[in-house]
Amino acid sequence: MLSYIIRRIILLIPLLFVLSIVSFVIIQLPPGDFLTTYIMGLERQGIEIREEEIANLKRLYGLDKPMYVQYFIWMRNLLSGNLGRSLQWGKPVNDILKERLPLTILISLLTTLFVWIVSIPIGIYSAIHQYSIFDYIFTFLGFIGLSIPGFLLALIFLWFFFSRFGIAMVGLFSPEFINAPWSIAKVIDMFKHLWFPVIIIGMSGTAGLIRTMRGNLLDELRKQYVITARAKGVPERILIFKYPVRLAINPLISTIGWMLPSIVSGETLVSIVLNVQTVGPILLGAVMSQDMYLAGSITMLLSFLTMIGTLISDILLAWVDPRIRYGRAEG
Amino acid sequence: MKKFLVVLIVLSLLLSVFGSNISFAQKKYKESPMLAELVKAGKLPPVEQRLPKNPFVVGPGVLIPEKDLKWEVGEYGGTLRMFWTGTEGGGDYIIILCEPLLSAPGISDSPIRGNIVEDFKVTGGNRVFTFKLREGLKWSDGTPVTTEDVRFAYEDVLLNDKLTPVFPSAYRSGGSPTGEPMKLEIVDKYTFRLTSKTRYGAFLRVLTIEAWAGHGDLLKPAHYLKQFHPKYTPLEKLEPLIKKEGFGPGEWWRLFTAKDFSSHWKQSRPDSVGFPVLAPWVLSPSTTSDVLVYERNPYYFKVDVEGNQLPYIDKIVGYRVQDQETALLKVLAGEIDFTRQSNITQLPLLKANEQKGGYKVYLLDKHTDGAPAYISLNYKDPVWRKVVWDVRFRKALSLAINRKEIIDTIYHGLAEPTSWIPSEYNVAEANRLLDEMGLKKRSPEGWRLGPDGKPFTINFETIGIWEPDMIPVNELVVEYWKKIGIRTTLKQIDPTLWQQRGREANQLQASVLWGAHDMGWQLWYGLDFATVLWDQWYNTGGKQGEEPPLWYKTLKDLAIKSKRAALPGSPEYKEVTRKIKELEYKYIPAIYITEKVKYPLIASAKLGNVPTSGYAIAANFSVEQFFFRK
Repeated sequence: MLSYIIRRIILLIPLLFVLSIVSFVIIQLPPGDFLTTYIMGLERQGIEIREEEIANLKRLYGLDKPMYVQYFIWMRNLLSGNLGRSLQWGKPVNDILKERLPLTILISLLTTLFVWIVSIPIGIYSAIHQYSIFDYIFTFLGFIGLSIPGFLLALIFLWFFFSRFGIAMVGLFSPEFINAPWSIAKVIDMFKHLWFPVIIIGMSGTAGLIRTMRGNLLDELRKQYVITARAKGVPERILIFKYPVRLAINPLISTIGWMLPSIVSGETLVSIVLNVQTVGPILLGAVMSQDMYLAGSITMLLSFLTMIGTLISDILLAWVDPRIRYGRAEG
Repeated sequence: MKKFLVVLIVLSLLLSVFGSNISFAQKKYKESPMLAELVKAGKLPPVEQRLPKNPFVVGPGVLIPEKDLKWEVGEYGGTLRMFWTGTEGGGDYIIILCEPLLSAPGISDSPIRGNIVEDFKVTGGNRVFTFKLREGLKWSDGTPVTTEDVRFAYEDVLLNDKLTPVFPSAYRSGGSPTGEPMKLEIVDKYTFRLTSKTRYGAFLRVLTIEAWAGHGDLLKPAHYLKQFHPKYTPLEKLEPLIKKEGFGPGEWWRLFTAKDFSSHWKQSRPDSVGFPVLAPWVLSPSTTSDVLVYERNPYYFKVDVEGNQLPYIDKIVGYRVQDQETALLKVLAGEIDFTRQSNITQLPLLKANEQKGGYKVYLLDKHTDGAPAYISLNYKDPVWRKVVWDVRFRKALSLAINRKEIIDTIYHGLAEPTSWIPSEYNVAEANRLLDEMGLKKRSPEGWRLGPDGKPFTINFETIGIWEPDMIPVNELVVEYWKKIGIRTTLKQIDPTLWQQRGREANQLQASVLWGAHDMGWQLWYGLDFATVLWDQWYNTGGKQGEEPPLWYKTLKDLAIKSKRAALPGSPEYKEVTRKIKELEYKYIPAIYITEKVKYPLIASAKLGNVPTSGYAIAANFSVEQFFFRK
């Protein structure tokens, strides 16, 4: 097992290297560069920038050097833990991420928790009481949750709160706390705002998980070992929770691989609509303005986490499910 | 009483300008309670010592013309809540923080008077400009502003080819890209002189509002910036700093540029905290990059007619939003006190929530023209050029447009048809002109055939995300032109692709953009991508590009040479403007559509001294006199 893990980790290195080149190049593929986008943004506000200023900016941002030189500088810094300097924000990428990551992770974890707490019991209930009235109700709600995109839901809720109570439910803090240092009052204020994005982001995940849980459990419930156990008189509750539920939960574990990067990036569209400052919108903005240092760094971070996540879920699966073996089958 | 005071202060100003020592007994200035406390605690010198000997005096008609604002003396205090999108402050803040050397009421060009400088003189036939700095004027850290700051900015930064690879044409003789840099002379501690070889009256305008350049080019806090300049600090001492910022060894110019925030454009960057400025508010540190907090500059050099040091408002707080629609929601909910970042298409929604949100919508003028249609005059296709170069064709295109319909449907009736080209709606005349110029034959579908026997087609490529009115206006224009038999298409494209295809590769046929005529703040916006090759020819003195026709050369000469030579607002200047208008009317270089488009400016109902007419952007220029009514 240990050698398997080490082998997988060593494989990550060349993969990450290739990824870094691809992400650095792809971000710069669209026509123009960071400066053209920047200048156009200013012109949009009816403000013209002088040509001399442009030449100055080019030198300041180091955009007068060829792309491969820019890549090597970025790489060199990356290896020493410095993610470079964001062109768009004019400050180190490390600082930007440091500010956003904790909140993003908090929101994502709370959302995941919310999703699991709500959907696993409902999924189990629906499977056991298949075609009952509540199963139909949950199925109906589940499909609504699945089919309405999160950002639309967010817009509807925003409108509802604005027209009903005249408040804009955006952001994570009240204005008086936004620039305050951390304190208990600030944390309380944050939780007052936090439930809103958590529920909205969690909505579609909940619906999806209810369906998965229900389907998996139904498959298991029909299997012969369940019938045998029942015939032997194992109490229903113990039977279901000890065997089929454990198996039905497997897909949850294999999704941990994708969960890790999404925990870090957060839900982009909903975050934009609700004005929650997670990493997702920052990545979007960086890609749109061709800020390759910021976008490249986040992409690298996300790919790295995806790989680690996949590795973790592989190991967990092998551990939880004795049917899975690692390494080549022998003989 | 107020009038008497104005007279008094103007008189005292005049007296001191002419070197006389007669001065009124100890002027009494008042200051914000916030600063008075600091003075009491001994953390700040008293207001008399912070203000220059002769501060800039604000009163009725000074920052905003009297017809646009009934000026009142304000009250101290309050926080102005604003928002911003993107990563930097953006347009609203840039203009608020802009303090040019000279200024004029609104964003006009007359009368131009000293702003940072106390007084100026133009001699030698619009060639020699002598400026006198305000004695006792101080940077926001309390250091006096002297001509050493000017000398440093000019000689050590502008004339240093590492820091300024391309010397700005604005500071060249005659303002021409080929002119020699103007000569700087330091007369004494407060007086300096710039000399141009050729007549350059427009230089006054360059120092006023052109390109919203502020004072950053000519006036930098030398005492602060010298620590990053190898002429004053040995390179070895700079190396650790250079390394820390992540620049290559020896690249001190990148370090300097990164540390130089004298341009107010950069004064919303978080790392500009602590940089000495002259703006009414100074960026203060914040715990997150999602808010910008500006606090009043205790050394700000403007006072009102009663001697109250400006600004009235203590603080500006800007909240970052990720989306314009979120910003709109915040406005509707009454969480924003002031913004210019809205547009006419949102007007009904804004108006409907005025009461509830506690704000007021002021309908002011926009400082650019509404969405003119540019037809490329340089697109490389013989058939295209043959048709488009015929003035009758361009006139027909203009006459085919129903401007009233555009104004009513898109601008809610709040704009006027352009006065720069023939703009009446006359389809019959348009058709007659097209027939007359030989586009008479039509295809089976009814399209007019070009000289090559194929339907003549105009393909619009327009950027949708720039201004909300561009695409709707363009869509209507396409329909109008189809009605006179010109096949027209419209495609929305990405801004950077547009830039590359248009300005760089000359591959665009037509596009709807913004444009600006002589509106005080800009000499001439130019025709952008439509005349790329002609402009190249003109700017390189015939070395590159293609030679333009005589009318275009004349237009350029007038707009650039003659206008640059004249003093803004002078009869000579007005005559040039009249000639330009005449030429444009005759040759129709672009299909202008509307002008005087209204622009909703949103301000809290409690805010005083908000202009009720004139250019919206001029309001940003006068925020130091805004105040909250109790």
